[in-house]
Amino acid sequence: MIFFSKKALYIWKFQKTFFYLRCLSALIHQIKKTMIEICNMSFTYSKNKPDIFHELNLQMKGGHIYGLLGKNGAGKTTLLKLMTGLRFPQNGNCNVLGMESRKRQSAMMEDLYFLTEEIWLPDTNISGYLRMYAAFYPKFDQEIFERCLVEFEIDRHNNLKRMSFGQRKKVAIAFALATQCRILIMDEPTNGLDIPSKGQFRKMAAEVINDERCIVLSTHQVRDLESLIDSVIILENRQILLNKSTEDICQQLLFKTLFSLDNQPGLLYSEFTPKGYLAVFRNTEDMDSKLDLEVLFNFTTQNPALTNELFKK
Amino acid sequence: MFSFKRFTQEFHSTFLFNAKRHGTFLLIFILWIILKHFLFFKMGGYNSNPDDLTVPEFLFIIMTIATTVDVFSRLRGPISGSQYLMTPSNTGEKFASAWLYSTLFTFAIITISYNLTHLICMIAANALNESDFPINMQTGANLWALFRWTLLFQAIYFLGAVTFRKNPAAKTTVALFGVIIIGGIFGSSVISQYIGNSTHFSGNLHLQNSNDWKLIFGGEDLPQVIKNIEHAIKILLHIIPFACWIGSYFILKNKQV
Amino acid sequence: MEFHEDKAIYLQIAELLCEQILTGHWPPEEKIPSVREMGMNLQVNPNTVLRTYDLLQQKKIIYNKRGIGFFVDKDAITKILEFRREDFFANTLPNFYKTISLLKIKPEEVLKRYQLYIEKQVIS
Repeated sequence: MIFFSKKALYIWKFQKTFFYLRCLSALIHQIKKTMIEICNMSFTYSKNKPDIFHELNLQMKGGHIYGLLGKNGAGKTTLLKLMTGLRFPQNGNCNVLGMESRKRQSAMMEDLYFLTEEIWLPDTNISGYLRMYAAFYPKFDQEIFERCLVEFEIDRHNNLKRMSFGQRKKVAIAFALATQCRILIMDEPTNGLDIPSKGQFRKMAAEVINDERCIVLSTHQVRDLESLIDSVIILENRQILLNKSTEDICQQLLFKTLFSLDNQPGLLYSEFTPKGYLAVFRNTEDMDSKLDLEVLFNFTTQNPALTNELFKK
Repeated sequence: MFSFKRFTQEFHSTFLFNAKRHGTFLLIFILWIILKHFLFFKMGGYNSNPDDLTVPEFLFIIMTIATTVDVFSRLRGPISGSQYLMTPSNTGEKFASAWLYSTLFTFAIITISYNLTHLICMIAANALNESDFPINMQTGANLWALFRWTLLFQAIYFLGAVTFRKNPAAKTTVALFGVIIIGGIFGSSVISQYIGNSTHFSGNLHLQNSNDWKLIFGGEDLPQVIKNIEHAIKILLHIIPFACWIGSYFILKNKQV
Repeated sequence: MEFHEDKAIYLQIAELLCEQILTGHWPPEEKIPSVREMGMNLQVNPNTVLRTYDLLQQKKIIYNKRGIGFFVDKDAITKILEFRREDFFANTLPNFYKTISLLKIKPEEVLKRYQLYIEKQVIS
């Protein structure tokens, strides 16, 4: 390149740098932020018992609604407690928004809300509850809270202790969404909700999710949350068997309902139900299918080695 | 970083959470004071019982223990504990607000309540009996000494409340008695080596007057060892609250549910 | 919204939106709900809806005006029919052929019944 003056040279260099910077920022935008990072974490309740988690590695990024699945006693709630800093790992660490969760720093807790499976609320009414806790969350939005209460049909004036389990859950969900925390961790959120409220919950979750936020739903009620979950984490036997987006899963696996299993090449797994055989195939022809979370769960937990091989990075 | 705003919010939250229950305790306390005054005057007042309307120091300590144990009541269960620990205030702010509530705040409320109730009762008594009985408000040195005693008990039960998940009041009391009994056995075995021929024991545990000691020690003055032990105990009583508070802070910081 | 077996959700949503356009609920150049609004209405993860919108954009059934939203393309109906025709020939017809050969139905029978159907349509 010939430059007629030094000025032209500098202009060219500036433009080149600017171009590279634009490429870099576009690239950064593509990489979604890691919000929760677990590195080589081991945990046990007592030294005599075997580890519940052994050198676990897990990453959760913004913009996703994670479904955490696992059998009873597999350690889902324990994992959530380790993530939120309510329990400390013996080895390794767990970082949330760049901060170690066990330190329970207020900067982390202002942006992280943990909705437990069972709900405890103080002996007061809703206004009293807000007076006790809302001010701790700098992004708390009263309007969101009120709107959720209206949609859930909760009467503001009732005493919280006298509400049914489902009603208390609704209040807690409304509060969780109103805090506008970037990370929402919910343990069995639809457990106890009546049928219309499950739909309301799905609607609210779909409304709040964005690239800056991350929702983790730990559940057995996969049918309730199937349409919301876009990344699946399966926990079994002290290990994460699967941590992939639903899109990645459907690229590797094909889900079909069949009337007979005769002559089905590439069949990996099947379940016999009144609808027919719910079957899982290797997706060799890059076809689209609907991911069945229950079938996926059973397939993965019964075939951990095969799963690992299929989803190797 | 310590945030005054979060600290205030945490204190406010603790207050709202305990207001009903502690308000009831306070009401009982006030009614008890009124009852005491009423009975005192029914029994003839100062004419027959010049010393009986004393400050119920024991009750002050009981009230402090009751509020202290409650200040960490949310740690009793795993669900409420999760919510309490996940409230966006850091350990320092939680500790400071719990401490402030169960020490200065509680003591101030009880003191004001006692003195106000006493004042009103005495004014009423004087008006009804057309008498001129003296009104003894708590002052200066006595108040300060009482405050320091409440701090001692507060600190011990504060540590107990944060350490023991269930029934912290009972467990702390048992632990405290245990320590006192062991200390007492140890102390008496040390002292008994020095007891002289005279075995007169006045039965009063508070041997303030050196004359009492002389009676036990056969007319002689306290041996230096005993004086040292006495001195050591006094220092210990000053250190215990700070040790308990520091311990409580670290236990709260590392609390898991 | 209830989902049928087997078909990927994002494809089912695509069908639903195409239906809205074909029936005239969403005329050409009309603004359609945003990804987030659609997600809320269907109680579905917005990422799934985004896949649908991407697909429809690719097929030129909808287009995106930056900062404003998604709109129905002026040739959307033609494109949808084209899209549906492709799907019919790729999926529905082979299944149909499989069924008639399994049931041993002759093509002449099918054609005869089709002609009767057309006549009925003309009368009504």
